[in-house]
Amino acid sequence: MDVKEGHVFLEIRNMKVGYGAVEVLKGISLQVEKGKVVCLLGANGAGKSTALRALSGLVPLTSGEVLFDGQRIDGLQPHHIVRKGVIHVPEERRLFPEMGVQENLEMGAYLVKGHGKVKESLEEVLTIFPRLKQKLKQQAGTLSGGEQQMAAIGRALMSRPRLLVMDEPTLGLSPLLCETVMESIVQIKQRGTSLLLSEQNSELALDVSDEGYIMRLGEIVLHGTSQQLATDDGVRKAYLGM
Amino acid sequence: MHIARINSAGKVLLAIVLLGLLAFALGFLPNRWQQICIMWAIWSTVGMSWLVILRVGEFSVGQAGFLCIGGYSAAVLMLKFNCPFWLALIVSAATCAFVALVVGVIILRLKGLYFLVISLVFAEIVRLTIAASDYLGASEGLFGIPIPNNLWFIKFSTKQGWLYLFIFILALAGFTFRRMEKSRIGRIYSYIGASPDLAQSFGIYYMKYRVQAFVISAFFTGLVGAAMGVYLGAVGPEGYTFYYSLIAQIVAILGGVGSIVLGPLLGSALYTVFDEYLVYVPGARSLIMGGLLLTVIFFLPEGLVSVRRKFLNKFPRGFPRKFI
Amino acid sequence: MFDIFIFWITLSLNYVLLATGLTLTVSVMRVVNLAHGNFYMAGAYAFLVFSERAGLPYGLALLLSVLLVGALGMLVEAKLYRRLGGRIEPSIICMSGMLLVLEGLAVLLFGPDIRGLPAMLKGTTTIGGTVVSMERLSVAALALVVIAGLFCFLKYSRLGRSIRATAQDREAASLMGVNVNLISSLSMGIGTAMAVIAGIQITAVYHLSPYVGISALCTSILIITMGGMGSIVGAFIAAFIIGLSDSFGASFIGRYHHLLSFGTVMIILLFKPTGLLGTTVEAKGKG
Ligand SMILES: Nc1ncnc2c1ncn2[C@@H]1O[C@H](COP(=O)(O)OP(=O)(O)O)[C@@H](O)[C@H]1O
Ligand SMILES: [Mg+2]
Repeated sequence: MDVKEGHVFLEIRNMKVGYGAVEVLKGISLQVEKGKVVCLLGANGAGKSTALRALSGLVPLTSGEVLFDGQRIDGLQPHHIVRKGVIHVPEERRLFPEMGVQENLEMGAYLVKGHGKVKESLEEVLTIFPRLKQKLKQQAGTLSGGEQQMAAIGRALMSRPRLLVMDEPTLGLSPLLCETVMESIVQIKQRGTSLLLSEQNSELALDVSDEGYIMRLGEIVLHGTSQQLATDDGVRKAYLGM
Repeated sequence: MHIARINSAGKVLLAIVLLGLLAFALGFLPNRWQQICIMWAIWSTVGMSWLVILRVGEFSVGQAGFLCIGGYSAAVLMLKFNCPFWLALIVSAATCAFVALVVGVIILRLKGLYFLVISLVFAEIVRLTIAASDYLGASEGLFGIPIPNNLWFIKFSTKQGWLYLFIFILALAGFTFRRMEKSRIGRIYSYIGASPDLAQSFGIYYMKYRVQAFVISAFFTGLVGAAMGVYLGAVGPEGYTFYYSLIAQIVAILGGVGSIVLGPLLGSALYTVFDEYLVYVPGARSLIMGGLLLTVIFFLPEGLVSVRRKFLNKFPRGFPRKFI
Repeated sequence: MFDIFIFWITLSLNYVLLATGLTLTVSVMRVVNLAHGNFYMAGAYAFLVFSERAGLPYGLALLLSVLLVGALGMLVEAKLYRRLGGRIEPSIICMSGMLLVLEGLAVLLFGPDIRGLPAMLKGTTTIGGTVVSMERLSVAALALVVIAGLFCFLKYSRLGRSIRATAQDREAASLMGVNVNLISSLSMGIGTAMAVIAGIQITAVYHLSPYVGISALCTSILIITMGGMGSIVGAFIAAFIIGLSDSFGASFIGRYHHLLSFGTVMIILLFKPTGLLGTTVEAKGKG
C-alpha cells in the first residue's frame, strides 16, 4: 500500500531497542509528515511504548536513527529532545501527584519563556478541556482517570509542541471519555500540530488519524492510510481483531 | 572414590576433620599471624551474619549494635556475676537474639531505605545508651574481664586457644548458614528477598521469616561479639561505632554477596591483612578504608568472587568450578 | 525553664535545616546520603579555617564554607553517585566510603581533638525579664531565615518547582524538559549546604570534632523517618519533637535522652511505618 510523500517531519530508520539481552524492537522504520496524525497500532506487548520511549530519549537505541525536522535526535537526553518540540504524553499519564492541576500545567510550560505566553497557553488548554477549569487547584493525584488524561494532554500542549507523541491515551477510560480524548486530538490537529499516537483501540485511532502502522512482536508488519487499513477486510481480521 | 559420592554426613565429617587440621596448623603460626587469623575469623562470621539479613532483602547497617550488646553482656556476666565463660557466651548470644526479636518486630515492618537507616540509628542508640549508664562503666567501659579457664588442651591465656575458639564459632556459623541456604528456608528467604509482596501472595508470611533471619543473624553476631569482648579483656562504647557495622558490609561486599560463606571468608581475609598492615596514623585508616570502598564499588562491583569467576572461566570445561 | 525553652527552639530550628537538607536529597536521589552528617562536620571545619585561620568576618566565612562544601556535595553526586545508576546498595557503600574519607581527612588535617566554634553574636539580652544569650537568638534567627528562604524557593521558583517535579516523578519531569541530572546535583548541593549551615550553628553551641558527623546523621535520620521521608513539613514537625527530647529530655532525664528519641520514633513507626506525613519513597514514580 502506497502513501504519498509529503514533508517528512519525523523519521525513524531501522530502530532497534533492547532491555538487557532481550531485543524488543527488531528494527522498525516509520515516518510522520508535517501536520498529519499517525497512529501506531498493536496488541499489548507489541513494543509501542518502547518505540515511543526510545524516540523521546527515555531508553537508549541499540542501533538505528531518529530524525526530527532533518536533524538526528537519537542519543540526545530527553530534555534536549523536548527542547526541539517533541513532547511525549507518557503511558498512564504520569502527572505530578502532589501538585495541583494548574501547577502540573505550568510544569508543562517549563521551557516557555514569558509569563504572558504561559497564560495564553493555559487559556487555550482550558478551551480544549473546559472540565479542567474547576479542577485547577485540586491535587493531580486525586483526579479521576479521565481528568488525569486531560490534564496530561493539556500539560503537554502547554509548551506548544511541534510533534505530540501520545502513548495509549485511552487506556482504562470509559467509551464516552475515549470520545472526548479523540475529539481533543482532532482539535490539536486542527491547530497544525503533528501527532504520533499509539493505541490498542484501533477503531477509534484509525478514525482520527491519517496513516497507520501496525506492530507485532517488535516489528512493523503493515503500513497504510487509515482509510485503507480500516476498510480492508483482510487487515481487519488478521491484525485488528474487528 | 569420587568426592561427590560421599553422603552428606560424610561430607560434614570430612569438613570437620579438615577444619580441625587447619586450625591446628594455624596454631603454629607466628603470633602476629595468629592475631590476623583471629580477626579474620571474627569478621568472616560477622560478614556472614550480615548476609543472612541481606538474603531477606534488607541492608542492615546495625551489626555494631549486636556486637556491642554481646560484648557488654559477656563482660557484665563475667565481671559482676562470676558467670563461667561458656555460659556467658551462650547467654550473651541469646540476649542479642532476644533484643533482635523485640526490635525486629518493629523495624522489619520497614523496608529498603527505612530499614537501612533505622538499623544504623539502632546501633548508635545502643552505644550511646550504654555510654550513659554508670553501671556499665559509662564512657570508660568495663575492663579487667577475667581470662577464661582452660578447656582440655585449649589455653585461653595464649592466642592459640582463642584462635581455636573463633575458628570453631566461624565453622558453626558457616555450617548453619550453608545448611539454611541449601534448605527450604533458603529458598523462602530468596523469594522474600526478591519481592516480599510476591512471596506474600504465594502464602509465605514474610514477617516471620524476616524476623527469623534478623534473630539468627543477631545470635551469631552476639556470640562473636561476646567472645571478642572477653578476648580483648575490655569493652568500651568507643569501640562499637558505625565503623564496625561498616566492616560487616565491607567484608561481605569485598568478597561478593553472591556466596554466603566463601564471599565473607575471602573479603575478611583481604580486609584483616590490609587492616593489620595499615600504618597507624589517626585518620589514615578511615581515609584508606573509605578509598578502598569507593574503589571496590566503582571497579569491582561484584567483589572478589567475581575475580575468581573471571579467572576460572579462562580454564577449559571440566575444571572443577565449585570448591565449597 | 525559659532558658531550656529557647534552647529547644534554637536546636529544633537547626534540626529542621539539617533534616530538610537530607530529606531533599532523599526525595530526589532516592537514597539516603550517609555522608550527610560528615558534610555537616566538614562544613564546620571549613568555617573554622575561614574564620579563625584566615580571619574572615563571620558572614563571609559562613558563605564561603556553604559554597565550598555545597559544591563538594554536587561534585560527589555528579561524579560518583550518578554512575551507580540509582541502585541502593552500591550507593550506600559509596556514601559510606565518602563518610570515611571525610572523617579521615578531618582527623588528618585537624587532629581528633574537640574544638569550639566562634558564635555569630556575643552577649546577652533580656526578653520579658529573662536573660537570654544573643548567641542562641541569632542562631535561631538565621535558621528561621534559611528555612523560610528554602521553603519559598521550593514552592514558588521555577527551579524549586522542577526540583519538586523531579522528586515526584523523575521521568515525567525529564519529559517536561527538566534536566534531571542537573536537578539531582543541585538538590545534593542544596541539601549539603543546609547541613553545613546547621553544622556551623550546632557545633558552635555544643562542640566540634571529626566524630560529630555520625550523631548528626542519626539525628537527621530519626527526624526524617519520623516525619516521613521526602516530606518537608513532616521533617519540620519531627525536628521539634526530637529537639524536645534533646533539650528538655536531656536536662530532665540526663544522658538517656537518646533512648527517648529512639523510643518515640519506634512507637510512631509501629503505628505508621511511613512516618507521620510520608508516603513510600520507592513507590513514587519509576526511574
Ligand atoms: N523495562 C523493561 N524491561 C524489560 N522488558 C521490558 C521493559 N519494558 C517493556 N518490556 C518488554 O518489552 C516488550 C514491549 O513492551 P511495550 O513496549 O510496553 O509494549 P506495548 O506498549 O506495545 O504494550 C514487552 O514484551 C515487555 O515485556
Ligand atoms: Mg504500552
